[in-house]
Amino acid sequence: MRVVSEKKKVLVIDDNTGILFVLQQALELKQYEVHISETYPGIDFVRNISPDLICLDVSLVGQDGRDVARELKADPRTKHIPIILLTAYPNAEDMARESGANDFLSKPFELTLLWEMAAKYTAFNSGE
Amino acid sequence: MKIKKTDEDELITARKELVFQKEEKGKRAAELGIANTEKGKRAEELDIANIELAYQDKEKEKRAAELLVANVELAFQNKEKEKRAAELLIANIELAYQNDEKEKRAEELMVANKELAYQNKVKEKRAAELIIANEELAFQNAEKEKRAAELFIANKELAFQNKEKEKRAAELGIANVELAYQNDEKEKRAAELFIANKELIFQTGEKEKRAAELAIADIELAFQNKEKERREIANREREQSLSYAEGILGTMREPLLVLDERLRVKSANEAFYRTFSITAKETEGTLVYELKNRRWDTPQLREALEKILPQKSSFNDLEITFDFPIVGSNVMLLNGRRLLQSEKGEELILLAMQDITEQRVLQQRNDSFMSMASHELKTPVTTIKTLIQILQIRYKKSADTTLVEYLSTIGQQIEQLTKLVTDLLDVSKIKADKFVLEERVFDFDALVIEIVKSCQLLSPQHTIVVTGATHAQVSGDRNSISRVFINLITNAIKYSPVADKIDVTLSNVRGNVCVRITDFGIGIAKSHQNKIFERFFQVGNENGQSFAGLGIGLYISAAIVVQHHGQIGVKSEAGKGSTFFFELPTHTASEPITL
Repeated sequence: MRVVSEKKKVLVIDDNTGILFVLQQALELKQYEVHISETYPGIDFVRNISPDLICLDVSLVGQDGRDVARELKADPRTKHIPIILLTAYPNAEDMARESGANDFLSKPFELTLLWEMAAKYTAFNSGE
Repeated sequence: MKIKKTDEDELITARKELVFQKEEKGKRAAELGIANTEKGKRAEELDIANIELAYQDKEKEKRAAELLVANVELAFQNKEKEKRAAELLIANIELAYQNDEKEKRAEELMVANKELAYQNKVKEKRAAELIIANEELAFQNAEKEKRAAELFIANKELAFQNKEKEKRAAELGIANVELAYQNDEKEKRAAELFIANKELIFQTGEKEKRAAELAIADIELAFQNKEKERREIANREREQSLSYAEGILGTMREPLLVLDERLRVKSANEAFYRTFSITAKETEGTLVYELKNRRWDTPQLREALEKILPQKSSFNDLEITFDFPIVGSNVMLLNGRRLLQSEKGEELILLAMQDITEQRVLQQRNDSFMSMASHELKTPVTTIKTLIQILQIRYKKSADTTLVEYLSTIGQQIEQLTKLVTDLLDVSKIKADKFVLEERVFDFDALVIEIVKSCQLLSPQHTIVVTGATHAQVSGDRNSISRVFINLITNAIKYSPVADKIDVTLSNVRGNVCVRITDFGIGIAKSHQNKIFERFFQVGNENGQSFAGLGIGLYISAAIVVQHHGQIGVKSEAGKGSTFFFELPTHTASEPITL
């Protein structure tokens, strides 16, 4: 009865399992297919999943989310994937700008804002 | 004859028969008439029966047609019934699926609740850490104030000693001039005496005159002796005040350096040697820039020192960081002053230093702790807030009103927690000068009306009365200015729990818009009025009753107003209420305000 292949895919990378859990819940409520990871799983993994959107935390354990964004945006095979930077730091906007991410969500964010943003960037990316 | 008779008989019989037959015919005719009449009647009845029959045929046809329609309808209904049965089957399947989903959600809810409990524990830990940090801060502030007070007293004393020294030096100068003059006079008098003696040998008559002159010379001499005594006293006093000053300098905790005109060290105090791990031998006579391997040779110090003597200037709070291999990094605040040593006319420079290394380290540690703490708090807050929102959406229409009510309360509390965490981060942003404001021109009165409306909803008990208007535009960050205003009104509500009114007055003062917010609550004691704009300061009332909050609202408000080149203040009397006011420059099209 549910058509799985039509679902938009979102990859969420955040070192906090609580955040991963709620983002998964929230996005699945809106019928996204959600993949989660506590660390950056590598560019091959990302290419393999081929997500329509990546939600990326800035402070990963032992790694800076901004470097991950830069790597993904520098590779011609992944640079089309929209990236939303997640952070609790106050200067989220600057972080997004200088790392090439498409947008940012400052923690704590409003659920509706997450949904709006996800809808906006996955609709944008429907031709991919 | 017999036959005849018979014939006659037969004739009679025949006639009889004829009559009878005639009668019968008449009867038959009458009967026929009746029968005809009957026939007519039957014919009429037949006609009626025919009409009836025709009508009944028509009715039968109609029934047949209706029957046809009814059959079609029946066939259609049978089909519909089959469809419904199919749909029901699908619905049952869907229902079974939904039951499974419901069970899954229930499990997820359980997991979410566990997560929530864990997050709450983490929050409590963070809160406890925050309390300890605040206590530490309060202790450091108290220490700082003590040091400042000691320094202030020492400076006053020093200034007094300097003045005294200068006075003594001036007196000494006068005494020297006088002495020189007296010496000359003495020599003159001696010469005159010599002449007088000669004269005495030759002119005895002149003796009396000479004797008189001698008497004058004696008086003069007595005067000279007195002068000499005075000079000795002055010298003693000078030595005393010098040793007094040296005593003060020696016991002062703050390092001091006295430099000569060529910027060589004339003297230093114990605190200087101790702070910079240097000996008197290495210090005295050395060019200031060459001290400690030329670590004192910084462009800022050169610029400041080399201006003092030629421009007769001074400097205060010049911050210089010295990096020493063993001692580590020292942050010093330097004050420089010109000293006049009038005995030789030599000018000196006094360099007073305050070691703020420890203070700076503590402050930085505290600021970075605040920033980190509020950052760390945001992660659990985000998790809880999002889960609550998901639950609220899912159970929006639930019949379980208790559940809905609980969720709503948790939601409100988490919003409050979010606000506190954001405020804390704002404080650390203000401390780190990272507070960003957006500039925009907006109608000030409209903003005030908008905020008063929404604040009125917060407390139906208080009537918020607005009087006056500014009719002005203000340029600045509308959100931040709203925040200042909301903060002042919510404070007015919070600190006047038994009052029923809050006055908001708008006016224009010296090209500024001015808002006054007056409450009739607990008020603020005079001694607290200048502290309420500091970080983490909160006023309780005389019963020791405390009010919720971190005590950073006014600190943030003041920072916002100051950044808009405005001012904020309070007039209050304990027990009667408070009037908070803030002023912001009015925007004029030709003069944009730069933040």
